[in-house]
Amino acid sequence: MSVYSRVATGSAEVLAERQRVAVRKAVGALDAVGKLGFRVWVVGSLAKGRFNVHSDIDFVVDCPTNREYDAFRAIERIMGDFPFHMVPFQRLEQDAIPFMMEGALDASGILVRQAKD
Amino acid sequence: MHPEFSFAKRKIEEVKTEFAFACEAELSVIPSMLAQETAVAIKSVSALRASSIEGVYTGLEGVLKEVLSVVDDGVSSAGDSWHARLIAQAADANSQSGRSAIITADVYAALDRLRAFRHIERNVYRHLLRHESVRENFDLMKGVFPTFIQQVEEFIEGYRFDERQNDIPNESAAGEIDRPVAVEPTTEIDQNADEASDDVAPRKP
Repeated sequence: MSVYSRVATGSAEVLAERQRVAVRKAVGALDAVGKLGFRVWVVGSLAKGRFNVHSDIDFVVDCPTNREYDAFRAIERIMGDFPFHMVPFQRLEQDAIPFMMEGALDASGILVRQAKD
Repeated sequence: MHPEFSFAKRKIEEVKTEFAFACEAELSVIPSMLAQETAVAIKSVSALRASSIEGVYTGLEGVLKEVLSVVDDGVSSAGDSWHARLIAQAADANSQSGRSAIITADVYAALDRLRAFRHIERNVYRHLLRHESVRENFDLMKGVFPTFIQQVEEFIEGYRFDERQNDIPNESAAGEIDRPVAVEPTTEIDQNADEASDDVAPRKP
């Protein structure tokens, strides 16, 4: 096996492990925010199947402005050291919503995506 | 003040300047912007206030980072939860060294809300900021800042390096010594919980 093959294999293993962790945490965070009564999605690279070793997890949460703190803390509690971004749905511009929400997934969608990948 | 706190003291002065700038803008610039009563003026006010919150909050983090680097040898996390752990660590007593909490639970709670605001503010375009939400957080920042500074300055002035547990000389050699009372850590970190293991909020006293 060449050096390049070994590096590629190692990278694939690291990526697979990181993606497993990402999916587990994403599902947990979606569940936690859902229990607060808010709609929430994973968007971006994890949802679109373009996750890589440097990717973070992007969440869009549909909640009142005065509950954004609660949603943030619910996600953060699950994510721990895993990098994430939370964007409130109501802060999205109308013309940005189709782009931002393209491929958006809920918890079951994330698991289906993982199975495909 | 002990010389080891010199850098922290410098950071305190810097953030005081940042805070004074935010307050001055609030008094001398923002009223005239709001008087225009246009959408762009209101959005600009929100953008200015949000930027002030971010600047002051980041400054507060710098202060705590320097203080904790002296008294705890740093923050117990280098990952993405660093920002959360920074203020949680400052709000907790250190049972290892015997140091007291640097900030109270009330100040912690306010800072944690500002931290969440900064996260969201950094992830949305400025013109999409909610005016009321920004104003509420700005008022929160204005309210907590003097208390925060007072608590940190009192901590620095009252901190005694010779009382650190780690610095206590061998008892047999030093004879009778007053040990600092070890304070139980109050940070809620459930080490057994898989998903929830990174909750770092300290308990209310």
